[in-house]
This record gives sequence, C-alpha cells and structure tokens, in this order.
Amino acid sequence: MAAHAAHTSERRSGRTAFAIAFVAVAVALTGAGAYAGLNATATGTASVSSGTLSLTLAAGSGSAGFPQTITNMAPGDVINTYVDLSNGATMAGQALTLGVTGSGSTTLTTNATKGLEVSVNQCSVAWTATTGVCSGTTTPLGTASDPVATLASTPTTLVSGSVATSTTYHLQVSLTLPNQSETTVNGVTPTTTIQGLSTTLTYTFSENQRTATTTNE
Amino acid sequence: MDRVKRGATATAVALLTAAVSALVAALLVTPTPASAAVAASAGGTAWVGSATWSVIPTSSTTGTPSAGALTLTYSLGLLGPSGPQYFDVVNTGTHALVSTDYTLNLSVSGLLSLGSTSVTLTSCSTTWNTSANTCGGTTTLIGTFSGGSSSIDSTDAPLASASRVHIQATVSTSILQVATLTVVANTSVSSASPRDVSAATTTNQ
Repeated sequence: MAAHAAHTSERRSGRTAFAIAFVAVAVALTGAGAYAGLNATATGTASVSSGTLSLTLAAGSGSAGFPQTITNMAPGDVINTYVDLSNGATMAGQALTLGVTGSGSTTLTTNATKGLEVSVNQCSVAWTATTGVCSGTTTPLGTASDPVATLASTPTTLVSGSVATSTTYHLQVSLTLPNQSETTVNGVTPTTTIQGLSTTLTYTFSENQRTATTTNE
Repeated sequence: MDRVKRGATATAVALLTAAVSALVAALLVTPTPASAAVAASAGGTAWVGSATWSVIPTSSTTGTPSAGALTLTYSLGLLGPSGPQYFDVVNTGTHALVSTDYTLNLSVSGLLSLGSTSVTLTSCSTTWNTSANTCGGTTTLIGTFSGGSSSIDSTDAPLASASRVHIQATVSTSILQVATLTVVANTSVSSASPRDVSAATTTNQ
C-alpha cells in the first residue's frame, strides 16, 4: 500500500514537470517565431532650418543718431534725428511700429496737447542730415504727429504690410514741442507748465515675423 | 478584499486629479499663437529738457531775484512828484527772448489827486547814476504808462539768459497834486501772441 502511494506520487511529479517543460518550450517557440518575422523600413531626410528676424538701428549718415541729449526746448522747436532701420535677417517681417516712452511723469510725456510729439518720415535714399534734405522721395510714415503720451501705450504703425529682408529704411525722426501759449509773470509759471521739465525718451521700433505659411511640396 | 478595493479607488482618484491639474496648468502656460510669433525690436534713447522763460523786476542790482512784482512809491507834492526811482529787470529763464511785456498799475491816494499821472520807463545800456540821475551809456525809452493799468511790449528787455536791464522810472503829473502814487511793476514773457520767447528752431542732428 505504501509502495503504491509512493509510485502514484512519483507519477504526478513527473506529469507536472512535463507540463512545465511543455509550456516553456511553447513560449520559447512562439517568441522565436515573432523575432523571425519579416521587417522592412524606408527612410528619408529633410534639412530644416528656422528663420531669423532682426531689426537694427544705426545713426544715419552725418547724424549723431541715438542716444542724444536735447536741452532747452521751447514751444515750436523741432529736433530731427536721422537713423537707418534695417531688417537684416533671413525672414521678412510685418507690422513695423514705433513706440516711445518717457521716464518720469511730467507734462512733457503725459499731456497729449502740450507734451512732446513724434513724427517719422522716410527718404528713399540717405538723408542729408546736416540740412534735413531728402534728395529722393519723402514718405511720411504713420500719422502726421503722435503725442508721446499716446505712443507710450499705443505704438504707431509705420509699415502695416510686409517688411522685406535686407531692407533699410532711412528715417527722419522728428521730436516737437508743440506751439502753445504759456506766460510767465514776474517769474511765476502757470500751474500746469511745460517749462523746466526733463525726461528720457526711449524709442522702440518693433516688427513681427511675416505671416506663417503652409507649403506643399 | 474591501481594503484592496478602497486603495485602488483612492489611487485612481489621485491619478485623475493629477492629470486634470496638469492639463489646466498646460493650458495656462501655453502661449497663444499670436504671442508665440517671432518679433524683433531696436531702439534708442534721448534725454530731453524744456526751456524756461522768465523776467523778474527787482530793486536789487545784483544776484538772482525772487519771483514777484515790484512796488514803487512816489510822493506827489506841491513842488511836484518825487524824483526818479530805479530798478532792474532780470532774465531768470534759460531761453533767450525777443521782448518783454511791462505792465504798470498806478494808483493815487491822497488829499488832492486831480489830473492825470504817468510813469515813464527809460533803460540805460550801462548803469544809472542814481544820485545825478544820469546814464553813462545810451538811454532807450521803453514807454510811458498812464491810467490804472497799462502794458507795453518792448524789445528793450533782458534778452539773453541771466542778463539784466537797468531802468529809470520817472513820474509826471498834469497838475499839482498832494497825494501818494503807488506803482506796481510787472513783467511777463509769453511763448505766444505776441511771442516774447525767441523764435522756434529746427535742429538737424
């Protein structure tokens, strides 16, 4: 009886071992079959480079350009500065604007009527900076004259369309203290005066990239 | 078994919460297409200062006067008005001028104040000898002021910044009076109509 039980136990162990071995072989064969499947690839290359957008500002020929110091401006005075603005990168731009902000908070930069005004003219060739003469064609850019009080928050659009690459704009940037009546009596100025004030103006020309394109090729 | 289920549920809720948070954060941080566009800028700066324009009358012959009008007092007696008085007008502004507006307010008070009274302003190119009432240089008539208040816009003025003009103020009466004449001298400069400030300029630089 005991011998029979031992024999039965041995037979069960043998079956279990066989089953495990069978499963292992099956799994191995299945895996081998997968790795042995056919594989095909095709490749291509594309050289991709991104464009660059760049604006540079330089003094116009014969002009001091920026930065500059302007003292003792009186009503009606105009200061013309000549600069060359270039779009010199690989990508065209669009929507060229000019914003002007002033340091401090005085009538010069906060009063749209009495404060400083800026206007921009373009010459098709370089300006003669010493005389302010354009020997080519003069084109006003933007509105005739914008108060700094406005330009500080709302830049004026100089070129609404495309700004081509390798384009240089020869610009006359005019700063004006508008004519106005202000009377000083016995050394006493009016309450809201334009006199004896100062500010540092920051001119910022900006453009956006050209309109994005979709190309099928 | 229930403990295992509760743990799995809590884990799932945590994962879902994290995913939603990440999505919201991504939406907030992701720029709009417009701001994602490339932009370029260039600029420059300019320091700008505005001028001042001012002329002040003063009885002092030196220094920078304080702001304010100048008051002169004359005696109008039986022997005639008292002698001339002298004052300067000083350009205390930073800007050059082409003229100055002189305004004199005349008021007479006293026992007998009939007839008319006037004041004449005369400048001297050098300094007045106030004792002898003489000018060592050239005299120029600025004008004669009469009535209560009158003004004269004159080019005989301290045109350059920090310059001064020496003025003699002489009183005349039409008939003898016994009274006191008070003259308040005012000077004013305007940037328009008429423009006392020198002409506007256009500078190319």
